[in-house]
This record gives sequence, structure tokens and C-alpha cells, in this order.
Amino acid sequence: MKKYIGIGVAILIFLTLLLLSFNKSSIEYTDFQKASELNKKVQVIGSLEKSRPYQYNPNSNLFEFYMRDKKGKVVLVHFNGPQPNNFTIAPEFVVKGTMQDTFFLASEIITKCPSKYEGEMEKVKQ
Amino acid sequence: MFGKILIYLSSIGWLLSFLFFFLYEESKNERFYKFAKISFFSGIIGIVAASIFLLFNIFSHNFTLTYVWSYSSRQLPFFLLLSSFYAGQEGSFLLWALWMSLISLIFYLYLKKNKLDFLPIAFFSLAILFITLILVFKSPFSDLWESFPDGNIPKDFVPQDGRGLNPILENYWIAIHPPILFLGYSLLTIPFLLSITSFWRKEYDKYLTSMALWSLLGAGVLGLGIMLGGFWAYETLGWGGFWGWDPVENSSLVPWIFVTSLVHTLLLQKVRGGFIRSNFILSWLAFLGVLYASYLTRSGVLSDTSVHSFVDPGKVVNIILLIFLGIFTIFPLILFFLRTKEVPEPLGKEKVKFNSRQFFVVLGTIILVVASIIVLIGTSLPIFQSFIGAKKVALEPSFYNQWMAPIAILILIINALSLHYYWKDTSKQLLLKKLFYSSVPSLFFAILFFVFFEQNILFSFLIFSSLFSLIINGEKIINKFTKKNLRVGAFLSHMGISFLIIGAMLSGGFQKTQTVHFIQNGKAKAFGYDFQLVEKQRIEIEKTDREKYRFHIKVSDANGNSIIKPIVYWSDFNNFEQPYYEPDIKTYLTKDLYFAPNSFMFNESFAPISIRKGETIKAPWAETDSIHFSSYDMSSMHLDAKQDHFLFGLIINYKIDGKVYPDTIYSILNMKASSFSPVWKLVPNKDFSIGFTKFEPAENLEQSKVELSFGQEMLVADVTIKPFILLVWIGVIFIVLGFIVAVFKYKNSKAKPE
Repeated sequence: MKKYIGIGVAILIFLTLLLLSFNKSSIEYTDFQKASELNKKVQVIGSLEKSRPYQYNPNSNLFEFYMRDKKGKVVLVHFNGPQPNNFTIAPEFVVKGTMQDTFFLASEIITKCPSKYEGEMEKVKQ
Repeated sequence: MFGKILIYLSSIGWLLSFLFFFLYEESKNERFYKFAKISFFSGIIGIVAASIFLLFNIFSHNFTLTYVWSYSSRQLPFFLLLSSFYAGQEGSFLLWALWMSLISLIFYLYLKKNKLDFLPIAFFSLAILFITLILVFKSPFSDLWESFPDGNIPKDFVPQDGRGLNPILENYWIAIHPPILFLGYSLLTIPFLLSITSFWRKEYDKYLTSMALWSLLGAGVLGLGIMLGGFWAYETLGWGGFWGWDPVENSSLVPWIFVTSLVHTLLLQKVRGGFIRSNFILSWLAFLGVLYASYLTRSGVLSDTSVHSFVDPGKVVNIILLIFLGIFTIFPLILFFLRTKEVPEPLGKEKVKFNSRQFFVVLGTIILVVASIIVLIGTSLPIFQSFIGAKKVALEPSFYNQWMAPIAILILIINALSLHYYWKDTSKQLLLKKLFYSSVPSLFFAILFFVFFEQNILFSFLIFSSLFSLIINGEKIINKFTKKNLRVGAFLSHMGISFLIIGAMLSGGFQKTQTVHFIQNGKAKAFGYDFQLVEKQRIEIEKTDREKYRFHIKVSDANGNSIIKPIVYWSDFNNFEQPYYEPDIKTYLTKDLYFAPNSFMFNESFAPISIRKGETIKAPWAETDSIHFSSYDMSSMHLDAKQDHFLFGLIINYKIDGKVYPDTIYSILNMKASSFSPVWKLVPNKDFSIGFTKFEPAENLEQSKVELSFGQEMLVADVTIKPFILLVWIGVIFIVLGFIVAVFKYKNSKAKPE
């Protein structure tokens, strides 16, 4: 009986630790409004605001652009790196990072290539 | 149609093979055996013939088949055409079926030679039946008009060329990594089927040797397959590392850890007896892990959270996969609970002694299983979340690193301790003496590291545990060699684990990255290295579907110069919209210099200008300077034998600060792709280039206009120093070598069943 109690306690501790580390290592999908309230690392889905300037400065290695989140809020984003692949053609992308006072500091930008693959016939070369 | 018929016939073959082998083994009626053999072989022949037929279609460029059109093209060389076979979902299922069929044949011959039961072949046939059923619904032999029912495609329509492979896959690694990985996956079926058979027949010790042999082989091949993928990602895909805790990577790791645990419990069964239920459960989990991996990667459930993109194969295929998974989950469980009470305990209730190697092997195996459960839970999290309707969160790699680092330390220490003990029990005196020699040097280096490099307790513990395990394993190998004993597989593999973990820790934990950029023939500095872009070379010029450049970058440090050659290219595959990149690596003994381009852009310095032959215009950069276009240069026109490419030149004279500079600027005209790519050339004394970007033809050359553009091309790259990454590859070689040695040693010592 003692043995089973021991094993049970060990499993419980293990599961608790696992759950705690989930919270620590997982980052929430949210919007800019919430991000400024949360003050921790989050990820935001949105699209590039093309009407405003976006540019990469190679000397400071800083890429700046305006991004519109799903709720329509437009925020300046700073990213320390060049403009990612597929950036201008991706309909949507995800930024991971934290909200600062005047801008969102992204540590990572994930773009999804628009799938031009399945079920498209235009590309069949006649 | 022919291909589809082959698949149908093969499925019928596998269904009958399942039934007849089962009936034969239950009744021992020779007539059933005859039917079983016929249906078994027709199942194999069906799959092999279908595979050959698909290859034939790929090599003969039969683009009426949607699959061939989607994944191959006339431009692909031999080995890439071969890889087109499994580049898509349908083909990868066919590859799986092919390996399963061929392995079932070898396994059948093995069983026959060793006069063993054919029951596992019955279950093997059932497993292959499911894969062929998937192929019935997701066939690589569908014609275009079937695949696109709304496309109004005539039945006899043959496209001129196929879509080709995704350019990032156009690399020799695609011919190596997937087949080995799938071979490993397929091999894991065998230990599981032997377990089932031993429980079914209540012959709990009979299959021990066979199970050990096939598990070792499976673990070796799968481990190799996984790490070749890691090497590919590192070396050419430019993902920066060899492992990213991506769901797809994880799902291949889980079955590997299970089969590796199985190898350990089989050893325990051999030296001590018992562990029969553990063996059953672990072999079952390893096989389920494979099915779960194919479900995760193929079903599209992870498409949001994984970098490996997979498209949903459709409802029917998902349902078949789930039934497949369900049957092989429930049936073994029932069997397990029916038999669990009568499984013999050869040593009664005798406990494993704490001061024995057995104890540590048990402990180590438990930790391994815990490790794979953590990976499994982390990987499946998005599925749980979508199941209960919770918000999807992405797990960071830090989650895995946090858990796996302490687990690695535990495993290494347990392994080292286990080797200090004898299998049964061990005297204290001898133990302490041995412990002294192996732990003191390890402790010394760990403390040295802590004091002089980084005050990081976790890293210091990793160093200590790796060295601790490395020393004792090394000693064991030397001992065995001096006795001319070559049964060193386990020690080799464990040494490999130590190397791998030190390498992963140093290359991952101490990597440093700087971003560099080059403007034309510019220079950059990073980590004490000087970089200079010396040449931008157009390569694969004969291929019209791409525009590919190899950059020659001179790297200089105190020890001399060398050239690294990263690649930037555009492809027809995404309509030349965004470039693809290939990194280049300079390998030193103690580190890799990893040069990964991640952006290539053109910054326009001034608006383009139009000019006719004979005209002189003001230079856009200064009122006082000018450009005179004196004549066309077509003297060196043909670039290749096929005469598809023309070098089109303009002879111009700059007048800059009162001085005249004559020059010729070129553009490469590709007749086939009708593309026009300027060869940028620096404007004298300026930091931007001029390019011949457009030709506007008129009735004759005199009246035609050309467009000149001005700007800077810029290459941006991440330079990363990866300390001691060589240890990772050495570790993998040791691990795999260890498994291979173990397989051969097993074979030599006991070929017949016990």
C-alpha cells in the first residue's frame, strides 16, 4: 500500500511541475490592447499596414513596420533583423514579443507562405 | 488506372494474407498455409509493382498523373526524380507500404529459417492492409482530371512540364534522410508483433533474442534517420541548428526513446528474467509512437504550430489512420489484460537489489520513459487544447530544454553508476575505488568550467555527468578490447550520448550571432573575422526555372583566408517573389562558423533613367556629372551552347568630377524564360551600382530606349559561432555504431531461438 501512495505522490508532483512549466514556456495568442496590459511575452496575429512606411535599416539592424491586429489596432513594431521572407506577400503573420511604451518589440516574426499549392490549376503549363 | 489496380489487388492480398496466416497458425492446416503464402506474396508484389510503376511514370514524365505533375519536372536530375517518389503525401504512404512489405518479407524468411510461428506475419499483413487502404483513397495514381473535377480538364490532357520539387528540397539529402527514417519506422513493427505473438501463445521467453535483435536494428536505423534530418536542417536548410523541438521532430523522437527503453528492458529480461510485461508495453508504445507520428504529421492537426507544413489529407484518410491507431491500441491492451495475471515471475517476488547494475538499468529506463512522456505531452498539447476548445498556446523550445537538461544529467549519472556495479551485487570497497578514478577527473573539469567559463550550475552538472559516463564507458571498451571481446555496442552508444549532450550544450548554450551586411563588394566584421564579398556568381544558368547566385565571401582571421559560398536564389516555384537561401559553414575543430543569408534586397539610390544610343544625360547624383551612351555591345553574346542566354552590353562613358571613365554594362537576356537580369556594376568612385534594367525595343536599335537603374544590392546574413558542434555528429556516429555492433554481436552469439 505504501508503495502505491509513494508512486501516486511522485506522479502528482510530476504533473504539477509539468503544468507549471507549461505556463512558463507557453506564450499566449492575444491582441495589442491585451499585450500592453499583460506586460509579458505574447504573440499577436495580424497583417502589415501597407499604407504606412516599413523599412529595414542595415546599420542599426532594425526593421520597423506598422501592423494591424485582428481587432483593428495599428501598432509600430520593432524587430532586430532584416525583413523576413514572404513578408510582403503573406496575408497574415505572427509576431512574438513584448509591448513597450511606444512600440511592440518583436523577438520573432513568423510568416506563413500563402499556399499556392493544393488544387490550383492555373499553373498547369499548356 | 494500372497503378490503382495494383494497389487494389495488393490490399486484397494483404487482407487474405492476414486471414489465412491467422487461420493456418490457429489450425495448422497446410492448405491455409498455401493460400496464406500466395496472398502474402501477391500483397508484396502488388506494392513493389506499384512502386516501380510510379517510378516509371516519374522517369518518363507522365504528367497526366497529378502526383507526377505536382512533384517532378523535366529539369530534375536522376536522384531528385527518385526522391519525387516520396516528396508528396501519397508517395510517402507508398514508401511506407513498400518498406513495410519488404521488411515483412525479410521477417518472414527469418521466421521460416528459425522455425518460428507465422502469427506475426498475420498481424504484419493487417498493418500493411491499413496503409494500402490509405493509398486507395489517397492515390499517387490519380489523373489530373480526377483530382480537379471542377477544372474541366480533358481526359487526354498532358501538361508540358510538372510543378517540380519545392526548391528547398532540391538537395541530395532528400534522397537519403526520408528513406532511412521510414525504414526505421517500419522496423519498429517487428518487436511489437513478436510481443503480441508471445502473449498470444503464452510463450513469454521464446522471442527474447529475436526481439532484442530487431529492436536494436530498429533503434539504430531510426536514430540515424532522425539525426540525418537534423544534419540536413543544419547544413543546407539554414535553420540554424540541428534540433528545434518542432512537433514533427518530436514525434519521431518519441518512438525512438520507447524502442531504446525496450532495448534496456530486454537486456534485463535476459540477465535476470521477468520484465515481460514491460517489454510488451514498451514495444507496443514504440509502434504506437510510429502510428501517432504519422497521424500528427499527415493529418494537418499541427499545421499551425509546426514549421514542417503538411496539408490535411482529407477526412477519409484521417479516419483510416484513426482506425489503424485504434485497433492497434485496443487489441494489444485487451490481450495484455487477459494475460497479465499469468505472466510468469521467474524470480518470484525477489526484489532487485539496490547495489546492483540491474537496479540502475531499471531506474535509467524509467527516466527514459518519463522523458518520452514529457515530449509526447508537449507535442500533443495543441491537440488537447483544440479538443477541449481551449485557447491554443505555442510551447517554446525552452519547455523541452528545461526538462531535458536535468533528465540528461540523471541518465548519464545513472548510466555511469550502473557500470560501476556488477549485475547482481557489488562490494563497497571495490566500488569506492572505481568511483574515485572516474568521478574525480569529471568533477575537476566541471569545477574548472564553473570557475573559468560560466557560473552556471546546470551546465556544470551536464559537464560532470557527461564526463563521468564517458570515462567509465571508455574504460569498459578498452577492457573489452584487451580481452579481444568486441561486444562493446552498449558502451559505444553511451559514449555517443555523452558526446552528443556535451556538443548540444556547448553549441546551443554558447552560440553567438551577429548580423552582417554587404553592399556590392563590401566588407563586414564579426567575431574577429573579416568578411569580404568578392564575387556574385550566377550558377545553374542552363535552368530556366530559377535564378541562382553563389556569393563568394572571403573570410580572414589571424590564421589566413578562406572562401565561404552561401547561395541566394529565386524560383519559378513561388513566381520569383521571394528568395530562398542556403547557408555555408566553415568548420573548425572547435567550432563552426555558420553563415546564413537571410535577406537580399535592392535599395534604389535614384530614380531610373531612360536613354537612347548617342545621347548624353545628366547624372542623377550630381548636376555636373554626366553619362554618355555611345553604342551597344553584342560581341560576346552567347553564354551557353544552347544559345538561350545572351549577354547584352551597353558601352557608356561617365564624366565624373571632370574625368571620363569608359565602361560596359551588361544584362543577361534569357530567351527561354524571357527574363532580363542586370549585372550590377559599381559606378566609379561611388558606393552604388548601375544596372541595365530594361530594353524598350523600337523599329531599330537607334530609336530603342534602354533603362538604367542606380542602387545598392545588399546581402544580409547572420554569422553564428557554434562551439564544438562537431561533438554532436561524433556522438551520433558513436550511437549508431553502437547499435550496429550490438546487432552483429547478438547475431554471432545466438542466432537460434532460445
